[in-house]
Amino acid sequence: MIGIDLGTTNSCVAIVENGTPSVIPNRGGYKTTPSMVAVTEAGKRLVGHIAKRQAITNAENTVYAAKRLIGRKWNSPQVKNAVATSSYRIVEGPHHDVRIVLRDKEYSVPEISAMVLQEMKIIAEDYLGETVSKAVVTVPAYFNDNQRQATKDAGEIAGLDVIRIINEPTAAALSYGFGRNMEKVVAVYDFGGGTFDISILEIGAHGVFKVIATAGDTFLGGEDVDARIIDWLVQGFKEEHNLDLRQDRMALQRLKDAAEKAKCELSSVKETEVNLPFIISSGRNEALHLQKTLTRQTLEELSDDLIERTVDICRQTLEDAKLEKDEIEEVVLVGGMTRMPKIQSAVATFFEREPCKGVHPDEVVALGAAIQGAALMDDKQEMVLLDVTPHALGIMTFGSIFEELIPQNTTVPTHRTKIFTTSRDNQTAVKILVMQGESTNAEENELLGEFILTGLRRAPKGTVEIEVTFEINADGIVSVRAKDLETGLEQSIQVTATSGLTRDEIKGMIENAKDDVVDRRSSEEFEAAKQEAEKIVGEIEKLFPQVEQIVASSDFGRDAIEKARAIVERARQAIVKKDVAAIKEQIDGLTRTHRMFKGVVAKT
Amino acid sequence: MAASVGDLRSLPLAPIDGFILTRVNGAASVREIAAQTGLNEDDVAASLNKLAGLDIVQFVGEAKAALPLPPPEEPIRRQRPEPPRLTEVMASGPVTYDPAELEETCDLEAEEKLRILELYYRLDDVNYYQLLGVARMAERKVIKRSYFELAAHFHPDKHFRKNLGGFKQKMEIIFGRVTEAHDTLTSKEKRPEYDQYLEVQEQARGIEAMMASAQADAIRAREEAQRVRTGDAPPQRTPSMPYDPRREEEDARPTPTPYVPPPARPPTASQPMFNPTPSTPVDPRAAREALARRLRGATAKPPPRSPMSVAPTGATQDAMDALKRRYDDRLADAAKAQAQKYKQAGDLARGAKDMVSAANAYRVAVSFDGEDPELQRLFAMTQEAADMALAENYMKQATYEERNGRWAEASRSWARVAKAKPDNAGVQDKLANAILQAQGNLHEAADASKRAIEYGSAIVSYRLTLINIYLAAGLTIAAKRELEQAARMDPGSTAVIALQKRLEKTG
Repeated sequence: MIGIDLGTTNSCVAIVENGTPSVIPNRGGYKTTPSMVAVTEAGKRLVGHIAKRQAITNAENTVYAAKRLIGRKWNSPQVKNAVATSSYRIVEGPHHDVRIVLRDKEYSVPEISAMVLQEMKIIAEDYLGETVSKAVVTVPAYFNDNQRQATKDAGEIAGLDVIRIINEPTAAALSYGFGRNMEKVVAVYDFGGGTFDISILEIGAHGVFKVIATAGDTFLGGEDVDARIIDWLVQGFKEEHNLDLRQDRMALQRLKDAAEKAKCELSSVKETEVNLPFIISSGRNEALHLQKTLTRQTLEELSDDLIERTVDICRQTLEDAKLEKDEIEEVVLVGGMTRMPKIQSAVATFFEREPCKGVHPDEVVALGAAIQGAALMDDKQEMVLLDVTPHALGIMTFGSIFEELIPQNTTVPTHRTKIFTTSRDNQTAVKILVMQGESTNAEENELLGEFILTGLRRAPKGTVEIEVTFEINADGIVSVRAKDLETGLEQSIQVTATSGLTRDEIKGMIENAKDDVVDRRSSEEFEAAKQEAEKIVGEIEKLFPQVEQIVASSDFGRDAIEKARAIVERARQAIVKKDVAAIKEQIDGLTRTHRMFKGVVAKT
Repeated sequence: MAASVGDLRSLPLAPIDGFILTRVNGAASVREIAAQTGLNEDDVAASLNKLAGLDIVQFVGEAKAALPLPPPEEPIRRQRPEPPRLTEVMASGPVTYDPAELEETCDLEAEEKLRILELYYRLDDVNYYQLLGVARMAERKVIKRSYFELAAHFHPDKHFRKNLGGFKQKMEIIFGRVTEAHDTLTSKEKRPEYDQYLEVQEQARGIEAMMASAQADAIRAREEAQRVRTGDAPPQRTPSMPYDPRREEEDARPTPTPYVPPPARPPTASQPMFNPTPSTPVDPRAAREALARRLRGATAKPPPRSPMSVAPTGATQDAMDALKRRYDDRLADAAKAQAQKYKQAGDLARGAKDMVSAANAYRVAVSFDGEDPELQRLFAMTQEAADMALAENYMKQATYEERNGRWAEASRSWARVAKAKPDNAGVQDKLANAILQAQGNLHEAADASKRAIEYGSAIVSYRLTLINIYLAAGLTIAAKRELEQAARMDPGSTAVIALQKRLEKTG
């Protein structure tokens, strides 16, 4: 049983031995291994440090940061961005997914990640002297189901039984709180190579770790800071020599290396020299050198907006957790980027508290994964992780509206049910589009899967009721069930990642499926309430002149008329606001008024 | 169980506590009190614990530990997880699961299976506090600790990759409910809302229980009055008498006692059955003992009768008759006086707008003196007001339940409202709809819906409810008939047209 932190830039493997978690060093003695894969001219596959060392000379056949592509679709802006900035070739796969070309061979992203996972498996096996088959693998908390599933697939390709996928910040919290008998609310700020996550957890009695809220950005990390430095270098070089270094893949790889190195150095020194001799040859057959001084201040200016973005996400998450800053009792920093002094001070300023220095930002996630693995496999371990679903889950309803069933940050396992209805007359089938995301516009959310419930009774729209149930079990597997309440007919799916449907495809599908989806039931309810209220209002208004004539002579009568007008007005406003509950509230009053009016008229 | 009474009015008691207190007699057990009052045993226990905490009652010869207590402060982490307290609290009721479920083969211990089943089938019967096994006033911290214990216990990860069979889903559902309870009770917004709901619910229960007890008292009073008239044995016991320590010195005969008027209070608190004695400070212990003595003495100790083995002589017979007449007169006077005393109590409660207490007092007064038309009128009037208050209460409950999709509960609450407002069409329609949504008894739903239509014949939507009920019951012809009527009333309604089309297709 091992725990693997499959990072964007570096990966790490850990185990729990005799109740103590520890990181396993690789053959070179390093505790982390670069998440890099290369294929040499001879067709030999290289992983880790070895791949990193030859990256400059073999830039086109060396993959780094594959994690940024996992579970993504070809047309996503993130992939477009990666295609523009990567030194290796990224092409479109057969299912609108992403493929990476190494020595003319196409690899899927899970395949590349599997090579890294396999390397981690071998490191553990070398250390333990026995085969390892089970693993807990971590992913960014804000990964969606497709990305998680792709990571699980990578584990399978690597020959690992991935018993659980857990979130990186959660893993960090497990490691932080493990065996420390505490009751605390902790914020984990995880700024890694490729992703940013923030999780707020409560560590409590009985070894419970309860995630309260989690959020993040899966395309915001150290890589983006590197890119800023590269931009700055490329821009400066262009101004000086009017040459675009980006056109040269090898130059780009050297720039990338230098940028990363400079960034790391600036965490401890105030300025550093970027020195890349013979970076490119000029048109006149002469080599040009790049030499520039980068100060910490410049770096901070370059990355200022990125840091601000992380702080914004922190603020939002705190709000989602319904907590005040002073209720956070500890801030744990995770990920290599948190070594940057500017980030440490930004976090300290935001949370109004010095972050905890007790954990190793590069190792803590793998340790947490190992701890969770051990707790799952060993009954006697008193530790339970109560995680949440990082994204809302729901279905698309009529008009491309996303109807949420399970809100963001719901503790799993959980299940929710809602009743929907048909959206057009004589509709005999409904398509249930299972989606994930926070937007009310279905098209902006991630499509997880779809299925069709057929055999509905032919009936006017809005009359057939369909009960949709979402369930997330402890393993994080989502299953969705749709049931025709009348016939008891049922259809269900277990949502496993759909490999590669593009935005356009979804849009097309949404366009085609527009008539076939379910509708919210509330609109029918509104229609009924409105009809009823309008009907009575009509009756009352018919009687108004008569009643007014009869009772206008008395104070009591005038008072009653006044009240009647007020009720009618309230009902009208409720109709305008489409407030079903408010309309229904007014109906009693309307009925009474109507009865009273009828009584008055009948008596005379 | 023994009771001691100080200045009760100053104490934070709910109607239910007051009601239960009337049943504390120094001998009854928790279970007996529950049986007498028709209340849930847990509620009785919780209330008694509260009363004990306030030093009003004392547990006599009964293990306090048998009652659900708020969880004790405990070290943060224990070596071995103990079974949750929850099941102990709830193990008292009848078995609700199918014993066959226990036989299902899986990797769980029999004891654990039992715990899961017992809890699973009671999820709908317990409130969030009971579910978490914490006191109503429990601090956030206590709630959290209890939740963590239960969550750790019922989270399916505890039995990772074990074969849990049908138990896995049950555990997940229990876990979900426990989490919902935690999330509600630890939320700054949701907890007050939920508390309010529970309060309303309990208030209603308390009021009902009080009414029931007053009814019982009234019956007893009537029997006594009967006995007085027929010259039977003297009454042994007064119905839930206002307690006055001064009576400690007197015997158990019903002699008129001046009623000490309670201070005017807000209408929510309702315990006029207790007579405060603000002037006499009471030593709790002495008072407790005195009360226990009184209560024990007052239970059923028949007065000694002289053995009638020897026939009386003529002279003694005359003397006895005279004595008996005098005694009867005294009793008749006593009954009248009692009636007056309860009337006064009723007047006071009415003045304080506490209609429930007023109705109860008048009810007892009427049973002592059934001839007085003024009393009759007052009773009828206050009873109606009390019913209305109760109905309002249930309306609030029903609204909360509807909002949270608890249709079965909502249908019960609407039924209570409907009982008090039998001719309110809207309420009947709500009731019908709630039963329909809860997939309850469709006959009842149809009856309610028909009443709604009877009182609100102008409203088409009431008919639509009935049509939907008919359709749910498969009564197409009845639905059609009703729909024709609806169509005549409002031919343009889209809902009507939709239903017409739907019926055409099925027809």
